[in-house]
Amino acid sequence: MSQERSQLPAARWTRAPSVSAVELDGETVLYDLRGRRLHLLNASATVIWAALDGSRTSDDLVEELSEAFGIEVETMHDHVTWVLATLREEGLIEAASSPGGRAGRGTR
Amino acid sequence: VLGPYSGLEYPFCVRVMDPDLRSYLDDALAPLRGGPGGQTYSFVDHGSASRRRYSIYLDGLRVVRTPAPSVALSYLLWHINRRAVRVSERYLLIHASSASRDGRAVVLPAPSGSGKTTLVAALVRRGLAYITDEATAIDPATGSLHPYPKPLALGPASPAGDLLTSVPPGVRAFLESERHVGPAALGGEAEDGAARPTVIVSPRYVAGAPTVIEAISRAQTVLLLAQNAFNLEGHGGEGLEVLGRIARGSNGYTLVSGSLEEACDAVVTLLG
Repeated sequence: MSQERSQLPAARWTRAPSVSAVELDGETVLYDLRGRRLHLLNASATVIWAALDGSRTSDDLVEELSEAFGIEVETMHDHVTWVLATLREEGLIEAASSPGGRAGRGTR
Repeated sequence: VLGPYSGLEYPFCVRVMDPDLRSYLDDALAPLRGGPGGQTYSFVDHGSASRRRYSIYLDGLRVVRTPAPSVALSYLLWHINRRAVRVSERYLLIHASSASRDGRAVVLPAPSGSGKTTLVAALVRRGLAYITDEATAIDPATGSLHPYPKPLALGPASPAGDLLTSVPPGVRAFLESERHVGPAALGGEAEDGAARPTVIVSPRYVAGAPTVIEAISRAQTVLLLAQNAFNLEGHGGEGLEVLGRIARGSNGYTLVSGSLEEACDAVVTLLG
């Protein structure tokens, strides 16, 4: 994981409107209509993708998923951060607009 | 003038002077016959005194001129196919060959050179109905396949050439680079109705390789179809949903084989 990826803004993340998704048996195929690119998410990334409704920060996700799957927070943090950073880098997610305007601040 | 024909949503006719070639094309294009008529292709022989003897015209405008009769014929059929794929708006088109039995279809998506035309030719020889060797057309409203039984284009090295019934001597010069044949030349026939995609197999011919078939997940099946789509951007998110519905109702596989016979056996077994 690059240093740049580890510094994810503390936004509430949501799926980019240009992205269509279809979920089958715990995996998800994404189609970015803007970039005309296809992506396949594995089971754990699919869980994260499904939670990206604009109401959760990465810390919220870490907390929820570590509890749900019984995985220690530090391990889950690394995984969630990597998945979100990758999705963000590909333009598949974006910071949800909110009055609080938390996007852009560091996570830790 | 031969026709009218309809390739997906592309109406066309073909004017051919050579009587042997006309008869041959009449058979090869027979499964596409129908429709209102549209643009007219002309296959013109300028005579032996002309260095570039053969031309193809589309509504009076020359689109190619060449000394090789086989190049002219291949270009004509390539041009028709390209137009058919480009003008189609209704169907979600997948770069895949396909064939069916009792309304259940096997779809073979793969890049050019993977052997999908050869494999579908062998399946037609086995009695499956021919749907297409190039552009599998999915009706988004129903998820079923619309036949596009264009002439199969078999390369000179394709082992499926052995499956052909005899080629008339008068057209051999036109078929040196590729053999363009209708399903009748393989002893089969074209699908004339809608077929439901049941088995999705990505084939890859590797010389000398043992036949190995592996199941893939439904999401991987969607990805496979989407990666081979000609016009997914035109159908957008709804197109992806259509592929999802197809994947939910079918089983997906990859197939690597160096044996046409074994590959054909494997696909027939999967189709049941």
